[in-house]
Order: sequence, then structure tokens, then C-alpha cells
Amino acid sequence: MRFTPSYRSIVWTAIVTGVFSVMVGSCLVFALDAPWRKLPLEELRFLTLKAELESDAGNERLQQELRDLDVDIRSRYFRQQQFIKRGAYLLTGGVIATLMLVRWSNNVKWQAPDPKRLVTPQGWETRQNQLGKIAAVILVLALTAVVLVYHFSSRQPALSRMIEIPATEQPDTGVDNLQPALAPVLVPTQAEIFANWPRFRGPLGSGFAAFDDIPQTWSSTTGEGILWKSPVDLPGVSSPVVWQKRIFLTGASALKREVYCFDTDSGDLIWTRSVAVRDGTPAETDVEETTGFAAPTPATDGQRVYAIFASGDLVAFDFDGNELWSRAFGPLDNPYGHASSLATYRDRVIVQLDQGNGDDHKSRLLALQGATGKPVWEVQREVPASWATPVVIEFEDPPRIITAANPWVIANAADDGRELWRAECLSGDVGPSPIYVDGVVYLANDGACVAAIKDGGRGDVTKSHVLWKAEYGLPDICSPLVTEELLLLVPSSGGLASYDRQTGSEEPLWEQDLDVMLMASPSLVGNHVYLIGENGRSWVVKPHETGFDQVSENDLAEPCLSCPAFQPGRIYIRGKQHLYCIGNR
Amino acid sequence: MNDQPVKNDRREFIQDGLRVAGLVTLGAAGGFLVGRQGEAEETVWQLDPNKCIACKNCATHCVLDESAVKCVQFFDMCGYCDICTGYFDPNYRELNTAAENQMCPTGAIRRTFIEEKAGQKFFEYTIDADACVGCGKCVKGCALMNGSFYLQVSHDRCLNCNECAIAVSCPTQAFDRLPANRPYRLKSPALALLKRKVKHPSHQDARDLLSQVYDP
Amino acid sequence: MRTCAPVLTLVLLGPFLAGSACAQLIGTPDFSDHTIPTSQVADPASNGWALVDISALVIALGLATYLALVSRSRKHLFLLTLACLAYFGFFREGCVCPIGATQNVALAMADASYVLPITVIVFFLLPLVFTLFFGRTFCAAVCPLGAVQELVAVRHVRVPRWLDQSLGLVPYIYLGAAVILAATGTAFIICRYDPFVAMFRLNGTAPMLIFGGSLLLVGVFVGRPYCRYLCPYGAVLRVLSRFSKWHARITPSECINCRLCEDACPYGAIETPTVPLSRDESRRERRHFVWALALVPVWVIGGVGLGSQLGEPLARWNPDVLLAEQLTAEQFGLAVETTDATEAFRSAGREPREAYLVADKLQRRSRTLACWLGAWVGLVVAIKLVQLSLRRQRDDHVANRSGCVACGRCFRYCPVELVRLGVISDVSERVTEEQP
Repeated sequence: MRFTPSYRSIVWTAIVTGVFSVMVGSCLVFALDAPWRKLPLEELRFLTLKAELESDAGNERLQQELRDLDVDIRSRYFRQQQFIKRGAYLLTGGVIATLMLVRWSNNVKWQAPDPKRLVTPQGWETRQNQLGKIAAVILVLALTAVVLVYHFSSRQPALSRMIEIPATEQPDTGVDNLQPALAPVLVPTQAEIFANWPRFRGPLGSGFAAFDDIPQTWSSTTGEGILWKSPVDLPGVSSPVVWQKRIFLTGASALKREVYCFDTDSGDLIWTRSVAVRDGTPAETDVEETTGFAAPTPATDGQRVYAIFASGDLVAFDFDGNELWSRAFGPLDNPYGHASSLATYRDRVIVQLDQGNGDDHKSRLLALQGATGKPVWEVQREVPASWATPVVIEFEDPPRIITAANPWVIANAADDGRELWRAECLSGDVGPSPIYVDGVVYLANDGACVAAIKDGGRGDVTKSHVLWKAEYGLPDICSPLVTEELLLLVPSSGGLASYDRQTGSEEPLWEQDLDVMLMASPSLVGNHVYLIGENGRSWVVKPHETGFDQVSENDLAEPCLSCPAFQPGRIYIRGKQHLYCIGNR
Repeated sequence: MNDQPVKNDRREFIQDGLRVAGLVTLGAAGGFLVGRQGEAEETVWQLDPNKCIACKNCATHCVLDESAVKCVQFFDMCGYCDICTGYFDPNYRELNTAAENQMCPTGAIRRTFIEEKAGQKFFEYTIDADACVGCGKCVKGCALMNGSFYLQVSHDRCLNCNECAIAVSCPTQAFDRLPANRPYRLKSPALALLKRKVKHPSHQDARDLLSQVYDP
Repeated sequence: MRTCAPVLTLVLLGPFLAGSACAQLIGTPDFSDHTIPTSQVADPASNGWALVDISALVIALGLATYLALVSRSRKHLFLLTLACLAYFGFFREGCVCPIGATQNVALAMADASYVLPITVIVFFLLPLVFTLFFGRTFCAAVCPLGAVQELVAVRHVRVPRWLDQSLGLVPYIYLGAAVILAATGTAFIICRYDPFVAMFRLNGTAPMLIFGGSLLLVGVFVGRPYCRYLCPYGAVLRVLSRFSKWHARITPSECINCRLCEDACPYGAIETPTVPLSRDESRRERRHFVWALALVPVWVIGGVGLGSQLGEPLARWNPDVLLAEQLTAEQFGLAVETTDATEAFRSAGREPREAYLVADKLQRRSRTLACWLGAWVGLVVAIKLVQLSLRRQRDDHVANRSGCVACGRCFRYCPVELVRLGVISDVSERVTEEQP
């Protein structure tokens, strides 16, 4: 006779095997995650003991303890490997047994269904199908939404939001043959911008040079570290800008305006172009002596170079020196002389043209097409004349331009000029430019304050986005500089002052004197700050929480009021008469 | 009710047609694939030690609990140094095999004294493959000097997954597939050394190795 | 490359370099009585299983077909399931598998240089051919993934038809994505997210085991969740099975509409006879059908539109794109830490722009591919809508050809079958006369 155990006994056995499997399973899960699954010599206990032994060399007892522990954890490690392997077999066996028993119990108790209880309601299928259609559509949309939400919430922003790869037709040349494909670049990629020094104070206008091998010592008296120096005909306090092998510079007198292009390797003047004023505009502009007629730094987008002068003449040249277009904005109503430098956004040139007294509707911000000079957009600004340079942040969404003036700091969308936000914190004659670092805009002006404003928001964000403010150590000309922890200012009284850039404080963390006044904004290379005094003496210093350490002191035999430009291994400094190239030979 | 059989006939006809179409498609696909196969050989996963940066992913990302990637010592490139940067922890205290001096987390490297010459001691370092977990610490250490340690997928362990989990996580994309009959790689200088070594008739083992190594 | 490293790192290595003043490789010393060994590498594990695998597949498929269609033995079918689970699953570690082979085939179709072993071709095609003639007998007993779920399906609850139908779309979407990612050589997602392979190997990472374990847990109540709502190969089999010449049947001869089998199928594949519709209702049905048909192109175009938004997420499957993104993020200070990948990239002396251009090319391709994927999804949805609007007259209880995996569970519910087996002498023993 066939042996058939009772339903109860099968179920009970199933429960026993089931509980057994669960126990084995949880042991395994615990084992998989347990700390002692770490590699033997990476166990915390071992590492601490090792560190202890290092600090207490020669401690025999500690050494013995470490060796014992080593043997112990090694043998346990291999035991655990075995344990997991056996556990896996055991679990599989347990699960199979449980399943078999449950099925068996099902079979023993199996009863044919009672059809009377199975009633399909009228119209059931149609209704279900209708529901199914809706559910199918919802499902697909939900899946898409999930993918998109996941994508956009990921920490890393997508490539297309950070860089623009030229939209020109690229023949499928393959990876090995990149150069020709890149030749017809119209819009500089962010990568290219960051590899060059295309505007005042570098790619972001923050005075930060992310290049290697920047020299730290030089002297024009001994010639140490000076690769070449070339005379610059006309005076000017504008700074050099660099694109690959070319340096662009401007100079002007009351009657003449010139744009220079130098070779980075030899210092040879590749071309000089003089800029005429348009008929009808007065040939002379009134300027303050230190500002001069060529205070604004030119800007380049890798295709063209743009320059503007105190006379209000804006001009564009291609890299071969052919004049592409010019526009006359002058005469400008500016008590010291126009000094705001140019910036570029994609293939456009950005001009901050603040003038007048604020009530006369003369100030504006413009974006002009780089190739033609045609305006793309223009916004009115109800601010008086200012001397600050705008910063352009391409990788934010939307890309934005941040300008500083009295009293508003304003962010405009770079694509159409619409205003994104504004904050009220400046006053007086605004000279220092804003800088943008890690989503925070830093600005300072003498007689007003130094402020950190979180980028973002809508409308007037004075109350909501100003992170901190302070009123000491304020600059009147030099723009701020940010290091990893500090915000550095060049106070109008001279020297260097510093705040914690995250938290700020009522007074500076420290103020330290330099015996020379600075006119050039400081620059940051690695964790070294480059300071150039107005008499040409310069320092490389390393700031920290309580002051700065001087790394080197260098000299340039002529006054210098311009910011240096950097390239890997090189610094370009404009002195009163010469352009210097400093580098390691 | 009369048109029911007609309807069924029609449906069957359509189904037959579709079935034949499906069969033809499958046949064509099969033929195409078989035709493409040509001289094809089976392939297995291997990593390129020239690209490897010993990031440790091999130890942690293999689907096997104990990774299929193991360290290999190429003796002919080894300096037999007394102070081995692959063997000793950078903060070693003495040049001996004590636990506090070793870098290998599983102690899988054996250090054997060979000879003392001109006041210099020489040691041979051999990997115990059973204990090696493929973490690449010694590879990284050795790379500071000669770089004779390198990681390889050991094919007695590799399951040859369709998609290698380590390959997916490899930061330098150093994994690819090699023909199954030459499933190993050497660093380029090692390959050159090996080719020189096989010329000597007594080195059968070198010839054995060379026959297993993929030569690009 | 690595041999240059010592030059740079000599400085860092004060303690190590006492006594050795080398610039490049330290020469291997000449020993007086020690031959320098040659490192030995392990011989590859024998790959002579190809023939065994293929014959096992042919035998198993033939047997499964015979057992499901001819001998109609659930018991033997179940034993075969166990055998196949043991061989293809646990012994061959779940890696000779038509489901994954779909990707290899897609890649081989797209990339002539990709070598496709004959085993993979056979494993991909043979179940398809069998399905074309006999229905999904591969799913019934041969597939180890199906088998492991078949084993746990003990207490089934009925999934509402609307949910079943809509979730049934997922495999087609999965298939589309898998084919695209595989054909471009980007990723083999079916293998990456295989839920049971870790169990077959008795070895795997915790997420894999948890995913597989929870699917099995669900599988106790909802029959074969992976096969029904995820399996991309099953999606192909479903279509082919629709046109199968012969197919497993619930009843061996004539359906007497006793309704006993109605609740027998844990996979929701038994279709009940249709209730005749009123004239109004059928007119409405017909209108719905015409609409659904007319909307097919709209769905496809809409799908392209939706897909065009998915180019970037799709591109992120590619390590080169991720690398370029990370490089850029680091450059802009958006990423706090560098990764191994970017470090390696830089130390190889390569230019970030190289990575951008490669990534850009890949992104362009992904954008196109995402549109195709969108079109495919649109088409799949449209067909599903058409199918749900299409009403076919059924007089008997029949197995839904695409949903039925020929497991044979319903056989013993059918009184006609019981008569055939001689368990009862007449259907009336199970069915009382007053049944409608």
C-alpha cells in the first residue's frame, strides 16, 4: 500500500524546513554584510593596532598582539569563506525541501473547484480591456517620467548642460582625426575657454588660473625668469588676454587707439591696428589720469578679438587683424573714463555700459553678435556710471551674466537679457568686479560693504540670498579673490584683508600690510596668491587662517596697474611700457 | 453560424502564412549569423595590464565572491629587491614577514631568500593564487618600481559572463574579450622579455606561457 | 607606460630606495644557482560543453513539447523542469541562456567583428522555432529562469486583467532598450539585471540576491512574475506563440464548458468564452477598434517625441559619456572629488576635449536611438490598444496562446482529461447536470 502521510504532518514539516531556510538565509545575509567579511588586513581593529604600533615603535607586547590578531583574523576569514559556501548549499536545500512539501500539501488537499462560485459578471471583459488601455498608457508615461526624473535629479549634470560642442557639421572622421573636425569652430567650447585666458581676470573673471608650472620667482633687473619683453607703443591699464598662441592688448592716448596682437613664444608683434573714431564724435574724451584711455581689457572668443576704449568705440578684429565691424557708443558720460572690460558669451560680446547719474537712463547692458556687431539684446539699467566688469556663467541654467553697480548687483539671462535676480548692496563709485565661485557671487566696494550672495532666486533677493556682509577692509579698485577657504580683499588703504568665505564675520580674520599700493587685482594659482604692486614689485604669498606667508618677492622695473594673464607655465604682465612674459625656461 | 468554418479557414490560412514568414525570417537570421561567424573563435574576458591602474574594483565587482582576477608575478621583470614596494607596507618597521610589515591584505605573497651578492640580499616573491583576492595593492606598490606584478583574469575561475561585471566598473575600460585559446595578456615590456626568453631551448615553461598569451 | 612611473615617483619613495639608484627597470639579477621561474597562468576551464549544451537543449525542448502536447503529463513535465533547472540553472550556472543571447544576437547583427559562438545562435533560434510550431514549451520546462519560478508558484492570486495587460508591455520596452544598448555595444542589461543567476551560482552580491529573492517571494502569489512582466525573450516568444501550429490545450478533445479550469492557471492564461454583446455594445466596440487602429501612427509619432527627450539618459549607459561628464564637472568645480577614471584619463596625458568629442558623438547617436526606442514603445502601446479593442468570439475555455507557458497545470482540472486518464468514468462525476 502506498504511504500517504496526513496533511498536517506535511504542513508541519514544511513549516520546520521553512523556518530552517529562513534562519540559514538570515545568517547568510548577516554574513554577507558583516564587518569581518572585510579583507583580513583591512579590518579596523587591525588597522588601529597597526597605527598604535607605529606611534609606539618598539613596544614588544603591542607587536605580539598585532601578530596574534593577524593570525586570528586570517584564519577566521578563510573559515567564513567556507561557512558562506556551505550556507548557500544548505539554504538551497532547505528552500527546495520547503517548496516540495508545500506543493505536496497542496496536492494532498487538492479539490476540484466549485464552478458555481466562479461567476464572470456581464461586460467584465470589456471593462477590463478599457481599464487595461488606460493603465497601459499611464504605465508608459510613468516609466518615461521616472527615467527623466531620475536623470535630472542625479548629482552629475548632463554634458549638454555644461559644454557646447560646435554644431557645425562634423564629417565622421573618427577619434584619431579630431583636429580637422574642430577647425570650423564657431562657438568656443567651455573646455577651450578654460584652456585660455580670454578676458579680464581669466575664463570666469575670478582671477583663478588652473594651470601647471606657473613660475613663482622672476626679476626684470637680473632677467631671471623673463622669457621676453616687448615694448607697447601706447599707454593703457588694460590687461592682456591670451588665446592659444596669441596675446591681445590695447593701448590708447587722447588721440589714438590701438589693438596689438603678440606672439606668445617670441613676443613679436604680429599686428597692430589703430581704431578710428566715427565722424562727428569728439576726438577727445575727458578721463582721469590713472584710468587713461585704454582701461577696459579686450575679450576674445577664439575667432575674434573685441576691444573698447574710453571714447566709447567698440571694435572687432579677426585673428589676422582684419577689422570686422565697429560701433561707436561715445561720448560716454563717465567722470573717470570708461573702464568696464568686455566679456563674451558663446559667439556674442557682452558690453556693460554704465554711465550718467542713474536717473538719465543712459546705462545699459548689451549683447552683440560677434560676427556682425548686430545687437542681440539690450537692457536698460537704472544705475549710474560704474567701472566693474561683468562675469558670464555659461554652465548655469539658464546661462547668466552678473553685473555690479550702485546699488544693484543684477543677474541677467545671457540668452535674452531678461533679468533673473537683483540684490541691493553697493554704493558709491563701483570699481571692483564681482566674482562667481561655487554658486556664490562675491562683491565688495569701498564705502559700502563686502557681500556674498547666493546665485538664484527671482526678483529682489537682497533679503533672502545675501549669505553674509561685512564692512571692513573694503577695496576701491581691486576685485576680490577667493581661495579654498578665504575671501581676499585689497583694502583701499593697502595691504590684504581676509574673510572666511563661507561664513563671513564682522571684521576680517586678518589684515596684513604691504608696503606698496596695489592697483592690479590679485590672482590665484593653486594655493598661491600673486600680488602685483603699482611700482612693479610683486609677491607670491600663501594665505592661511591667520595671515599670509610670503613665498617670493619679485620685481618688475616699471609700474604695473594691470592684471596678469596666465597660460600653462607662463605669466604675461603688462608694465607701463612693456609686455613681459615670465616663464620657466 | 454557417460562415464560422470559413472564418476559421481564413484565420488558419493567415496563421500559416505568418508562421512561414516567421520561419523564413528566423532561417535568414540564423543563416546570416552563421555565415558571419566565419573563422570565429570563442572569446573570453581579459584585462589589459597596460591600462590597469589597480583600482581595487576587480576584488569587489566580480560576480564571484572570490574574484576571478588574481595577481600574477612576471619573474623576469622582477628586481628581486630586498625592499619590495609590492610586498611591504610603506610604513614597514623591519624587512621581515611579520604581519605589521606586509601590505597584502590576505598575505598571499611568499617571500623567499635567494642569494646575497655584493652585500645585497635578493628575494623571490611568489603569489599564492588561492589566497589572492585580486585587490591589486601589490600591483600598485610594484608599479612604483619595476611593475612585475600585474592582474589577470584567471580562467580556471572566470565564469565568462556575457557581460563582465568588473568590465562595467573598470575606470579605464581595460577589459575586453580575447580568443579563448590565447586568453592572457602581458605588459608590453614583459612580452618583449618573454619573446627573448623562449629562444633559449631550455625554457619550455616560457614557451608554454607564450602560447597562452595574446600578442596584438 | 608604467615603466616610466619610477622616474616620477623616486622622490616619494625615500625609505624604499636605500641602496638602489635605478632610473628605469631594476635588472633581474644573475643568480649563481637559481633559475628565474616563468610565471604560469591557469589553463582555461574546458569549454567542451558546447555540444552537450546543444544536445541537452534539443532533447529538453523535444521532450517538453511531447509531454505538454502529446502525453499531457504534468508530472513528467515537472520532473523535466527540475532536470533542466539542475542542468541549465545550477550546473551550467544559468549562463547558457537564450534570454541573454538576444543581446549577443543583436550585437552580432550590428557589428560584424563581434564573434558569435554557434551555441549562442542555436540557443537563440531553436526555442523560437519550437515556439512557432508548438507554443511556449521552452518556457514550460526548459528555461531555468522559468523553472525556478514555476517551482515557487504555489499559492496563486489572480492578477486583474487590466493590470496583467498593462504590465505585459514592460517586456517589450525592456526588449527594445536591451537590443539598442546591446547592438551599440554599450551594455548587456538583461545579464546585468538577471534576477536568478546569482542563485544559480550560489554566489552573488547582496542587491542581486535581494532582487531575485523578492521576485521569488512575489512569485509564490503571482505566477512567474519575471516571465510575465519582465522577460524580453518571453516577449518575442509571446508573439511567435500566437501563430503556433500546435499548442498545448486544456482539454484533450472537446471543451464541455464546465468552467472547472477557469481558476486553474496561475499565469492568467485561460480565456473564458465570450459573452455575446448587444448591438449597441458591439457597435461601440467596433468604433473603439477603428479608433485604435487609426491612432497607431499617432502613437508612433508621439513615441518619437517622447523618445527624443530620452537621449541623454540613454547616453549615460556609456562609460565614455560618463567620463566626459565627470571631466567637465571636475573642470568647473561641480564635482568635489576626482574619480579613478578621470585620474587615469589625465595621467595618460589625454586631452579632455578628446573625451568631449567622443561623448558628443555618442550622445548624438543616443538621441537618434532614443527616438527609435520611442517609436518602438509607441508602436507597442498602439498594438496593445488595438489588441484590447479587438474582440474575438470564443465559445470554449481556451489557453491564451501568447500567455500560456504550457506548464500543464490545467490538465487535471478538466473532467474530459480525467476520463481520458481513466480517473473517472464519465464527466458527470465531476459536473452536475444543472450546470449551465
